Amino acid sequence: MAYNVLIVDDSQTMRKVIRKTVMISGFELGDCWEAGDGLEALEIMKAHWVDLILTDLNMPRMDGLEMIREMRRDGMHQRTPVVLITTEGNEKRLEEAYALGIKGYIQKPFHPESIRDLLTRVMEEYHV
Amino acid sequence: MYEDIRQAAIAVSSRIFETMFFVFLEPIDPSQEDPPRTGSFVKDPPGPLFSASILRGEIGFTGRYGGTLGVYLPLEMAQSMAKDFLGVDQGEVLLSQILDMVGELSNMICGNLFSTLDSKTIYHLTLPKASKMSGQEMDRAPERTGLVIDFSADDQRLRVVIQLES
Repeated sequence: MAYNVLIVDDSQTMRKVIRKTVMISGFELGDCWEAGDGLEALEIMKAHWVDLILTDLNMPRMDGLEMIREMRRDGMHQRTPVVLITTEGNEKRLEEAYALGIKGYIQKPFHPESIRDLLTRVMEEYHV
Repeated sequence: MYEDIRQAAIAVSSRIFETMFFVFLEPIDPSQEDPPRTGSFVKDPPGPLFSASILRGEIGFTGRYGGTLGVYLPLEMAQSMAKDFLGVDQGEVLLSQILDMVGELSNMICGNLFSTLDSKTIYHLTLPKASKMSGQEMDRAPERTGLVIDFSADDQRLRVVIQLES
């Protein structure tokens, strides 16, 4: 089963690398959209069916945590799995993110295998 | 304090370059340079060291420590890294993409550095920015003060500068 993925990162280069890494990792990728911040991501979520969101934390206009809060307020996206892909490893911010329901966390730099393993686990758990 | 930061910055930078760019950094031992230019709190290291076009990525941080972190690398090296990073031919890589990658590089080093040094303190990072400068400009830049760590890779020199606010 292929999954529709939304990649949210203010770095266009990083979005392309994440997309490429997901593709070569063996994860079954369906449609893939990119957004440069949380606001743009919310607009894409309104227009398309998204199975999984990969998001950075530190972004202009609306950061990753605020985007997740907005998603959880919206009945349509309360259960959509979110995975953080970020440079930050701060315990308090991660605790805050887990409290908002993120399903996992990958710190940049990353290996393709770590992305594949986490995304596969997250989607398996989602279907259970 | 500076030695802890220096050691962590060397480890983090090396890991990021290796994992994301397949570039292997060799820290330059300041004791092997005469006069010493890097490796401790250098007030005014002598130049010039960089003659080619340089790309600078910079990010600010606040937390237990506050300041800025800058990454400097030769344009040719950044072009080659961006080509591998994006999986495109060198001619297709735009300067805007290379600058974006260099800004993200400073973001990765800074985020990893402070989560390595102190994972319990929240550090707020600014949005990274990147610019192109000449080697001469770099030698005149205020970044000549601070914790300066030089590396060699593929016969080229690159630099990480951490400036802490007092």
